[in-house]
Amino acid sequence: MIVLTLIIAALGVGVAMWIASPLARNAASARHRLIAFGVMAVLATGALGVYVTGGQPGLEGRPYAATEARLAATPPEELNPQEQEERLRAIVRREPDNPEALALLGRFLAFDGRHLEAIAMLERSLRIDEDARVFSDLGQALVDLNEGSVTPEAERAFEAALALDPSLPEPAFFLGSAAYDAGDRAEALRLWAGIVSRLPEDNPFRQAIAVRAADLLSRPAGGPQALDPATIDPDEDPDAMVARMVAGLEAGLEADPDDLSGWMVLARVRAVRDDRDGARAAIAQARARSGGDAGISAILDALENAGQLASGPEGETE
Amino acid sequence: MIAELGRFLIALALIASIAQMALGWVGAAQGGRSAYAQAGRTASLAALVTSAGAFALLIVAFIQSDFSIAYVAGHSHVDKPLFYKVAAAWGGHEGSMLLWCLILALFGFGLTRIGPAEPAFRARSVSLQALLQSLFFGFLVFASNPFDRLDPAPLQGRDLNPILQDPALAIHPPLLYLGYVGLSAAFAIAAAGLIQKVSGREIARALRPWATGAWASLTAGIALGSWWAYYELGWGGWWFWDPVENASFMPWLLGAALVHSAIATEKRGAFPGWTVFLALLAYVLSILGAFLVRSGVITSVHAFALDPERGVWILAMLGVSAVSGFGLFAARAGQLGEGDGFEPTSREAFIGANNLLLAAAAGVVLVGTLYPLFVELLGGAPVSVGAPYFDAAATPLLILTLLLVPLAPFLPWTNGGARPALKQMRAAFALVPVAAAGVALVWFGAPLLAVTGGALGVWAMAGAAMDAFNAMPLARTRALKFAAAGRAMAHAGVGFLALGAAADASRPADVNIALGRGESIEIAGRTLTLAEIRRADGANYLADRARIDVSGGRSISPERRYYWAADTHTREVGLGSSITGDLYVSIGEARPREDGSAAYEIRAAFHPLVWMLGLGAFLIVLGGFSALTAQILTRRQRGAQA
Repeated sequence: MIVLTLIIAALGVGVAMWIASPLARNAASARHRLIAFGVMAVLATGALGVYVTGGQPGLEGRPYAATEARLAATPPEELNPQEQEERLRAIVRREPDNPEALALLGRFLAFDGRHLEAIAMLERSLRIDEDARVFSDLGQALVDLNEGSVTPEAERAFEAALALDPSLPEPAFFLGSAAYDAGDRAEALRLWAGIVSRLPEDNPFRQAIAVRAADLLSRPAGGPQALDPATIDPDEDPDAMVARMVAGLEAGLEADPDDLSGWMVLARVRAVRDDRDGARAAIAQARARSGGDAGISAILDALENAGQLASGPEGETE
Repeated sequence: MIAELGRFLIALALIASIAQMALGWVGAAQGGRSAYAQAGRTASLAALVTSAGAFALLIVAFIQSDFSIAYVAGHSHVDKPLFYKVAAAWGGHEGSMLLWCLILALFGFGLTRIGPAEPAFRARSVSLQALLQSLFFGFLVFASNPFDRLDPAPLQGRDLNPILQDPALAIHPPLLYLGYVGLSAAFAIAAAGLIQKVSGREIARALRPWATGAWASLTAGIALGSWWAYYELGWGGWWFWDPVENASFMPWLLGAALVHSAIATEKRGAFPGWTVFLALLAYVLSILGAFLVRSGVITSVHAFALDPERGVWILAMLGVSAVSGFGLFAARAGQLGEGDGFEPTSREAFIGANNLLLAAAAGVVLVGTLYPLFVELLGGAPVSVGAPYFDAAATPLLILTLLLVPLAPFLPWTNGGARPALKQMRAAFALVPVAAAGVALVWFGAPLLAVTGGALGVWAMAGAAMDAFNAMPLARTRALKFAAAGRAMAHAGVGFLALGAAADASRPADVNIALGRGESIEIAGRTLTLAEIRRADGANYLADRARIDVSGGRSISPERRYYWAADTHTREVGLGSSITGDLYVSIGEARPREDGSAAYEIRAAFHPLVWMLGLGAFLIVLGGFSALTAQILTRRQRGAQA
């Protein structure tokens, strides 16, 4: 501040003297010299007066380099999210080929909902080093960008992730979702059961994926629309319509008893209709046809738990 | 430190400008050679040096990304390329006002060196220029200070508006301000001449170089802005009669009139009052332009500062300039005389007619631009005045002007005589029907105005060629050669502009379509195929770049960019230029189709002969600076003779 004050004072007086110098040089009398001095004084004080109307001499400048140095010297946990982001960006700026930094920034941006930027960062990271986790994050950012829809680009990212590390739960889950959305329930079950079987018992994703898979796979495909539209009567009793649907499902399973998802749907519908024994029987049919697959078994367990069919006499769980 | 030093330097520049005004005024009263006049000149240099220092410090602050300065934080980002960090120094309101003030100070200093020859007249001009400087420096210091601070400083800046991150737009404002502010020197000289009771001829002689240089710079600025709008906005046009475009077009029209009337005044003493009036009015309209752009009274893509409080400041400056300038004119115009008269077939007559047409066109544009404001001011429902009004009202006047442009150089001064002129122009006459038929045939179905404009464009070009052919061999001095070449180039440039505009008005309909990879469209006999889309990210944006293959083996690469700091999408137009015109393609958002594939919004157009617009503007600018060189050489010759 002292340096600034000195510079300002020197500049003000210097410029004022410079402007008034022709008057001083040509001053023929003391009065003219006084006028020259007066002009100089008015100019210097005028400039200072104008400056102080808004000047903040005590406020330090903040070039970005200083900000960057401060962020680099501060432990990340002491920084707020915006500062953390800037810190990451600074690292990426310094080391544009650092795949970890790029991936970290990408995840940060994805978490913050800035999916376009996140995708760009994750893609940059992958161009330098292919990593299953980053592929998976990229796929998820693409899914988020497309409001939950697993696009072909996201599928490709998940497939690449799965190829590099089959134990990752997210790619299989999202690929299963893509298969489910496409109407391929068998493939969805295969993918979901596969990842559930691979995950350790204590992994929180295992249960979460099993519950989600059980919920999705037991939903009637298209609900009442599963019935032939030509046979739907708008005045028909809803119960009768559901009964017809159940009959249709049962007929379908008779023709194709290996349709595990069909058994799961039947179990759910029967449970909803309070036919708990029927529901348990359907799950048992599915279990019997699962070939002892641990993943499918876990999903069926989740379905049993969701319908509260696992134990106890009928009616007790109502 | 940089911010506070910068703030102090512009305070010094304000004080130096006030000193320049006061000392110059006293100096002029003492004959222009006294110590006061000398001190006024020193003050003008001090104002220039301090404002240049402040501007340099602002650029340094941008390079350092010092976000403790509000203006830097609002218009920059650390990831922005260095070129645009520097250009951002004038990319927003406060920085551009500093540039405006710096140019004012530059012209103020210029007047002390190459202003009017008579010392008192020069000192008065310097003083009045300083009055304009002081008004703008006051506005800068108290209402638009680019060194205002932020405490606490943000971590990151908000970035410069992405559509301004373009080379053409980085250069466009300085050129435009050279034009606007250059007209301030003409204003100061005209007003000083009225105060000093100088003859109209002397005033015209003194202001001509300033008006010519300013007008040529304004032309370059407008042309760059128009070119930018053409390829950056992605709308497919180059002139939209937008209020901000009109704000620059009005001083340009009056500047063109002034440049020509000043010739007649200097050479033959004709229209002295009109020349002085134009010099005053052109600058007042420049400030009106600043008011329209920066006050928020109009809605425009170009309006980059919307602050009613600042608008009041600018309105006050407009009022001071207009009232003092026109008040002085009303009081002293009589002393300028009326000239010696001339024949209807003389060069003065044609220059006068063209002046009236240009002024009328400026009036038409002014009415169309301000009408919505007045309607709203009177409590009416919002209205907008668009292209149909301007095309119908202004274009016929400009076409009439075009008819007269090539004739005047062949006419003798004062006594007139059309016959020799017509004889000299036989070749040009022969070209007119050919051009008219050609234009009508090539652009079958073109609007009548376009056919007429195109034909007259060729008429102007032919006239300019004949003029150069006749005048160049007769020009014995370098000054005369530059003058003749400048005139011919500028008039040919006007012809190219007219033909380019006529061709573009006759272009085939644009194609707007969603295109998937491998799919094609047809436009103007060419097949365009969307070959691929790939990532092409930049330092501060993400981009999808398309490759559009054109039948014949060429390809065009439009981009869609996302500037993440500003959270803004832009379109970078792909151009395939050839002698016949531009293939113009912009790419928009990707839309999913039912089959899961993506289709991209594509806008494709063909702009026939659009390069003529650029060539026309370039020739006008070149012609303007050639004429300026001629005037400077003539002054030197006169100085040497004296």
